[in-house]
Amino acid sequence: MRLLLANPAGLWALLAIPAVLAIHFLQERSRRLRVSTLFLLERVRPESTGGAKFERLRNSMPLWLQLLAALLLTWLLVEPRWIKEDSRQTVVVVLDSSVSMEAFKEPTRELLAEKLRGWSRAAARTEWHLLETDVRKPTLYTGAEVAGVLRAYDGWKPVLGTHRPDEALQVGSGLVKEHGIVIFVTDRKAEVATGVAVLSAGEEIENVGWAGVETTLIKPGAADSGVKWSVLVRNYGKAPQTRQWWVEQEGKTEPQRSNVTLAPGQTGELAGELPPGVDRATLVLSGDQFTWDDRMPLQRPVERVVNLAFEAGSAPGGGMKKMLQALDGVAVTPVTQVPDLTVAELGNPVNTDAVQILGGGGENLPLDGNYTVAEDHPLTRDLNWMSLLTPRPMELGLTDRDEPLLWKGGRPLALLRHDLTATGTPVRRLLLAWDLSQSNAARHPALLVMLHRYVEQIRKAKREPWAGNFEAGQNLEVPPPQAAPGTAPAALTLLRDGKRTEFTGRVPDGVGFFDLEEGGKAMIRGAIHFADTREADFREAAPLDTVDARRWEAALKQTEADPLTGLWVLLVLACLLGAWGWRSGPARSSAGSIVAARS
Amino acid sequence: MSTAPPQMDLTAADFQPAALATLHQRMKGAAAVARLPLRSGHWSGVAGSVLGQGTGSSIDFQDQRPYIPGDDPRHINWQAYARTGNYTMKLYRQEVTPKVDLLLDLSPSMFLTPAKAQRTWEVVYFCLESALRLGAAVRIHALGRDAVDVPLERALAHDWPRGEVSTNLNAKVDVAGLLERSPLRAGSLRVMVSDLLSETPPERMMNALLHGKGRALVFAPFCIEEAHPAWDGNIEFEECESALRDKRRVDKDILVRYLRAYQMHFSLWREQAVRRGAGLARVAAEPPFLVALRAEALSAGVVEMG
Repeated sequence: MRLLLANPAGLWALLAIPAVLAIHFLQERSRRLRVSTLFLLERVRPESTGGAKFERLRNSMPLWLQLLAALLLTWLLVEPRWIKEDSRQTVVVVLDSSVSMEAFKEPTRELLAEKLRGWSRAAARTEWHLLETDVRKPTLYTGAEVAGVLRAYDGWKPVLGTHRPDEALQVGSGLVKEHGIVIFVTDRKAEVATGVAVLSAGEEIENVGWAGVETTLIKPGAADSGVKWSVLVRNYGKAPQTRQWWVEQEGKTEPQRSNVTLAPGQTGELAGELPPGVDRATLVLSGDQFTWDDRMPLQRPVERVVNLAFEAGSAPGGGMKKMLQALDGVAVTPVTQVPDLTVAELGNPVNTDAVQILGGGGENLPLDGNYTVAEDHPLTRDLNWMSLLTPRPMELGLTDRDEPLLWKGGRPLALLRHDLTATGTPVRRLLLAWDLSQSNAARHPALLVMLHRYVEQIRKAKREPWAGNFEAGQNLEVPPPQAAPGTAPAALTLLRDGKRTEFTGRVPDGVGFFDLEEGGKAMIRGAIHFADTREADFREAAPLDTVDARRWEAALKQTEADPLTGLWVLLVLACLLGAWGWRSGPARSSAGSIVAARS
Repeated sequence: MSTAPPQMDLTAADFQPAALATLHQRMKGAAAVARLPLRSGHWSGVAGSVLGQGTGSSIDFQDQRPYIPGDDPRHINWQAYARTGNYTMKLYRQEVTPKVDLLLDLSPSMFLTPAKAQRTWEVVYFCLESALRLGAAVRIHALGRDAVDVPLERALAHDWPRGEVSTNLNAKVDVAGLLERSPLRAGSLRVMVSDLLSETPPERMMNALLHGKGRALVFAPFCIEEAHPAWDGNIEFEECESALRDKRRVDKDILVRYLRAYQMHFSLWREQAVRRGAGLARVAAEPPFLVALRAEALSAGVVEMG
């Protein structure tokens, strides 16, 4: 059976050994004694040639008894427990995937290694699981070796922003069967379930980092436009900080460096321009312990403009034109160009995606007092339509190609109709079945948001290349790959730092640049920056360890106490009494016995 | 059982005549109970009160023999002549005066503790008084810095010479050398008072003590601090005669071995005394004087009682 020291702090009792030795060798001062003669004492000089201290050690029975008592006392204090041969446990380590963990990866590894080695001694067999709170990622390690856990930890990279660990912890709790523990490894205080231990090597550190970016074209629509950029830089610490910052561009070797000084908690703004012809640059801040927010890549944005064609000259058409032109990335198409979106009146044929409205000019109708009821649809979700005032909507016959969006008095107020053009191209038409000029629709935010969502859907469906600045890990919707009839669709691949990977629908993790290609043709060029300022704020980071307390509980279940504890206690008492008695009693009685024997 | 007398300060450096006088008085009483074995053995010398080994003029009949010309006619047994017609001489034991050389070891170890110092002086005055009671011719030899003869009158007046006999603390007393230089009388009884705690072999000491056809009695005072020391722990020993020091840690084992060496030392002395026909008795310092004498001196024949 293996041994577990339930209270390793008891090893401090070993300090009693040097203390006893010091008392015997150093603190006991000689007392002077006048004697008749020394020659009899010289006859009893030690026989060996060893050092004087060794002689004292060898000849002092009380010393040996006291040392033995110290050793036995240490043994009792460390509370030895014998691990049962058939004991098993499951230890699940759940790593916090927040990027702030990157700042404490090394100290966390040391702490984790120490704790896991302690746990490995708590049972004869241990099954290890290493998970992370990023539930999209697979299990990092499953096996029977602590070294395997640590190797997997070394290869682990946290990439998420602030998030809840509950799901991963629930998975971990499910893995622990009868005996074991779930250890949540994080860098700050965390509220977790009762059965979960928390381990943190985090600490409050000073951090200054980029907190946000905005880029705008100086000449929108012009191919040779420069780029204005504006970034926020924030001091998250409790002391004033001064940092150097500069702009790195490809081919520019000696960037000009400037200083920025920020008071505790202050957010400053830096602005500049990228000259025409420069598509990419990186703003760099002199480093600190947390490096994710020290680089801010900038991409010259290229927009996908939604081209509008207006074929509704009525008053409602004018209002709709105003609303659509107010949206970003929308332009009125010259007559010669095929539009992406057509605004037309109901009943007119269109060959593109369209917003079709009821033509005005009719008699004034009374407002319909019925409630406006919204379907659960991406275009209408989470919008408040109660205050939309309209006349009774026109009767629109619903087909199986329609998606009703709004209802009023049993009639559809707005719907999305799917059609095919004469050439077989699928189009979607947003039909609004009331006279906009006789309602408050122009002043109603829900309608404007619905139009914005509709335009954005059209924009996302455009297949022309574009560029932008993204947050790490954000979702990126791209139109599905096209395929010629009889061929497989081209694969979407991400090109980053010279490496190609399959596109998973998200912007890659980590700060830098990327290119999204479809069959070798560029679709999106982008810059990725770190945007979760909560992760950059380390004022809440603190060390925490509730693992050891649970280890003791587990040890009680998996081990059995030393059955000879009572004997050791008696032996300690015997040693102490013996040491005391040896000094005061036996020498005298022995001398007396010699005299008695002689007489 | 007599009680122990009060302790007096009688160390070698401070011979207090008044204290010695008190002690002397007590020893006179002790000498009435116990005495040196001067009556036994054969003595020769001038006429005295002790029977000699030859014929003399005492009243103790010894033998009779035929008259030889030249014999003292006063000792002819006329009654025997009347019966037999032959001259027969009647012989009587000779009465002589014993010679006692009292040797006193005045090394500082003899006065290590007040008890041992007092016992030393008690033994000295007991021997002196006992010898005088038996009419012995006593000569006192003080073995201190040098061997000095102390006039009997001064010893009886408790006026011990100080400067001559006091020892130098920086030099060990060579008792054997002093003994060899002492003018001991031929055929005398040498009564030595010494604790015998010297590295000198007992054989050499005994040779010096017995030369010139002498007899020897040795009284060895000792105290409990020597015989049963309560040593424990780190002790810096300082020898009282030479001021030499020795630091060591004393535990049970060391103590036991010291006691064995102490016992062996006196065993050698006893063996030498038996072999050479000398009397040796150790006298403990702590019990009352007569009790201490009975413990060993009586059985060893060094004193007689009754």
